[in-house]
Amino acid sequence: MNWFNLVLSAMLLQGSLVFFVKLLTNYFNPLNLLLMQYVGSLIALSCYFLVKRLKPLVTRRELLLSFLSGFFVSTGLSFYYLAINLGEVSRVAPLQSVGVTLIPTLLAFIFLKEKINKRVILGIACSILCIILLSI
Amino acid sequence: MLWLIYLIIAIILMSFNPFIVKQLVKKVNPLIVMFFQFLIAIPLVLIYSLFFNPGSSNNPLLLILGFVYALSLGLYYSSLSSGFLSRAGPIFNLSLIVTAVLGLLFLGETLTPQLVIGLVFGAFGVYLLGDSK
Repeated sequence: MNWFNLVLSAMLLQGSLVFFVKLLTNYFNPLNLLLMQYVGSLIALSCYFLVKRLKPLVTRRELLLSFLSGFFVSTGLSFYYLAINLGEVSRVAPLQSVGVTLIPTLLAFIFLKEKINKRVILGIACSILCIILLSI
Repeated sequence: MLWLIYLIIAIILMSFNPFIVKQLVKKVNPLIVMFFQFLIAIPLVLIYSLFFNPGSSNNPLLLILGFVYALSLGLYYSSLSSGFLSRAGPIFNLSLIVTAVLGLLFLGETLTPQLVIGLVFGAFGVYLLGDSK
């Protein structure tokens, strides 16, 4: 599968997951949902590793970077849920979506030297407009 | 204004994650990266949960969410290993299109002109980013 089909499948699954999480937040605390989400993911991955006899072997640097990214995403999500609890969803959600779309893209252009053309800029602009229109 | 401080922290932390992952998945299997992410995430979220929302209820059936999350993240990280962060990242964040459509189909939410325009922009954005050379 090429990268586009992979990310499209990921987008469909993630969108469906967020839909169910939104429904479940009527009954459960968002941080508890996030915790169960991580526990379930770890169980699923451990089962996959056992079946495939795959060993999670990495260098010390890769381990540190993996832990760092795990810290970033879990702490970031926790703060996002706390922001939603304190602020208005209609303000918090679009700001967060636009932020996490723009900043990694800028990092990719600046540090990874990924090519930028008019089509990409237009695509990102459409994504941001979509996020704003769907969130407000 | 505490919500704004929390939000800024969230955006900064969450923005750096795909950047680090993009570096990692060049050499490491994306599933192994996820394994270590979850390993550190569980105690952290448990601490945050106990600190901010002590005594809230849970249900083991919620673990199913994790299976879907692992699959979704596995596909996204795999796309990062062969694709561009500047294209895959925005497309993945457009998952709210799917959420909005499911809301329309199953929750009977109202289809407003604003929503239609937003969905059109989203679809066009995915098309442009996916077809980028």
